[in-house]
Amino acid sequence: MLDFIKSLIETFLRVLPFPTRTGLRVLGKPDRHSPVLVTANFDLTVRRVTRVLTQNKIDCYLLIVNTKGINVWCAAKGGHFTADQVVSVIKASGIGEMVDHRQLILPQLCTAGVNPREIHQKTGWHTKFGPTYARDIPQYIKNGLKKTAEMNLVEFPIMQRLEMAAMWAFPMTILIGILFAILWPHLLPEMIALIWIMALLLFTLFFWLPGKPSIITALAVGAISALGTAAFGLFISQWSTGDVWILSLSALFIAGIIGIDFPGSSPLFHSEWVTWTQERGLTKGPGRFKVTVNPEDCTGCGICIDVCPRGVYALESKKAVVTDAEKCENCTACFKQCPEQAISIGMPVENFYQ
Amino acid sequence: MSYVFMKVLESAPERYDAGINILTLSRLRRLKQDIANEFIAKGDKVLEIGCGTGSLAILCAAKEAEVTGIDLSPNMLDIARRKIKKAGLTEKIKLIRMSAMDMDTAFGDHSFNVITSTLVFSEMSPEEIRYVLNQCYRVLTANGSLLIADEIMPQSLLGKLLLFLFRLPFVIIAYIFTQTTTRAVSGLDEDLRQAGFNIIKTKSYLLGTMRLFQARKVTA
Repeated sequence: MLDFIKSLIETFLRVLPFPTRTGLRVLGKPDRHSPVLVTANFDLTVRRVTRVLTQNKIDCYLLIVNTKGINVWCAAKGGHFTADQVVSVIKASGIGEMVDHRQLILPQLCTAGVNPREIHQKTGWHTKFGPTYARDIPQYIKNGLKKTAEMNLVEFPIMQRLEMAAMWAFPMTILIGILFAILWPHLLPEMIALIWIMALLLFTLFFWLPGKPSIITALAVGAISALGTAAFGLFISQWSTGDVWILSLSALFIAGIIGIDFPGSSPLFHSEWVTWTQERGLTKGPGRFKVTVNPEDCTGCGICIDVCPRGVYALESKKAVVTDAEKCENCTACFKQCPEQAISIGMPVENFYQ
Repeated sequence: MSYVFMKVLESAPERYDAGINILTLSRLRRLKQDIANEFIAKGDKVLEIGCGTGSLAILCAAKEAEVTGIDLSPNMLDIARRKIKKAGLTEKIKLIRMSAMDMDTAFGDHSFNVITSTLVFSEMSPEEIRYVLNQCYRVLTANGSLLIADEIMPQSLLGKLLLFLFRLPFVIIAYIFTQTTTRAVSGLDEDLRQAGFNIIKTKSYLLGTMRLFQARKVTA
């Protein structure tokens, strides 16, 4: 029950970090050959990973690194999940004295931040990138630490989309709710309903909207919803003209707010908002880029295939090739992990390493 | 990937000093001045763990100590570099981007006679605190001093509640404007003893919510 309430709060307030205790957790009865897994100290993540592992009766060690309460992917991209954090937990936990092997299993989505060579050089531990989702860890371990192609990929099923809708709607309910409670208290219930309807509508329709999700598609949904709201207000609910205007424009406004980072709210697309700020020099980063492989430098090791969450790469006659550049969401994992620096993004990359 | 929020946090180092001043009611500035005045002498070899934007390193270097400042954040170090250059102390302060957890390979035994660290241990896990304290013991000279200032978690429930209520408005203001926050640490005195240190002196700031420890290496 407590677990459920915690999950609910952490889902609604997903935008905030939720730190949990870092360090070593022992799950089941591990021995000196048991796997050692690593994850971020975002409380929701840790509880989900722990649940999968204990339910499947996997005896293992779980190292929780200090990512300041931020989830694996965001922490890796924001420079809070790097080799330094992993090295720190290896040294501080004394895990080296508990097992005979030196094989760490890192979450795949940390690849945008963690340099495995640095971990090896500082601690002697080898690293493997495990599955993207915790639910695949049991199968991955059963397969002898081998991933299927599907285990690399991110997805955005309806449950995750509803989570994202709640992540947007909840803080908006609080902020816009306060505003309306002061300005138009008689419209408060309608407004709260509108916020949730808009968020749920946008994320439910996510894949059925024409073209790639973007601020434009979000605003289009907003405009149609504004008309719908107006029609509802005029013909069914008989609001005053002023109220019809307020609520209709609010529908458009809410869609616009969510629209700012509509594609970026999914794990599938690059964040338009982030590239927009990067291209104007407001934040540090490469902006929108296109990956290419230099066949002369590529040794065909397949690491890019292993770390790409979108299945952009494939091996053709022992060289990596970009099969579907359109799918690339600029997560930066491939060119950071490529040991030969064979992947180019069309600009110098040095400045973008953390 | 919704890291809009993260992007806000990323630019936070620029505002760190301002945030800390709000959070500590400028007491940290006085505490750092106290450290430099009371414990730093000409020619001291000082290691600062988590030097951040370099304010304490500059105060120590101004007393003609040789300072090595380490910090994990490249953005903080960029600001530190700017401040040090402005103070004309580039010769006296060496900055290294590294984790305190890598002190084991970075510094030899007995390399420093003073180690300072403010609001850093509260960011570490209990295991990390113990690890770093052991490293401090190793790299300090025989009579070396360890100076740690941090927010202290009161033992009593009432104390905890008072600390929370007292801090709350400042925490909110500092977070909204600067995305800076701090945490409190508990059991630091016991950890210091375990690592082989003798606590020589403690000094309280901010109604006892922040404390400066001077500890000395116990040599057999």
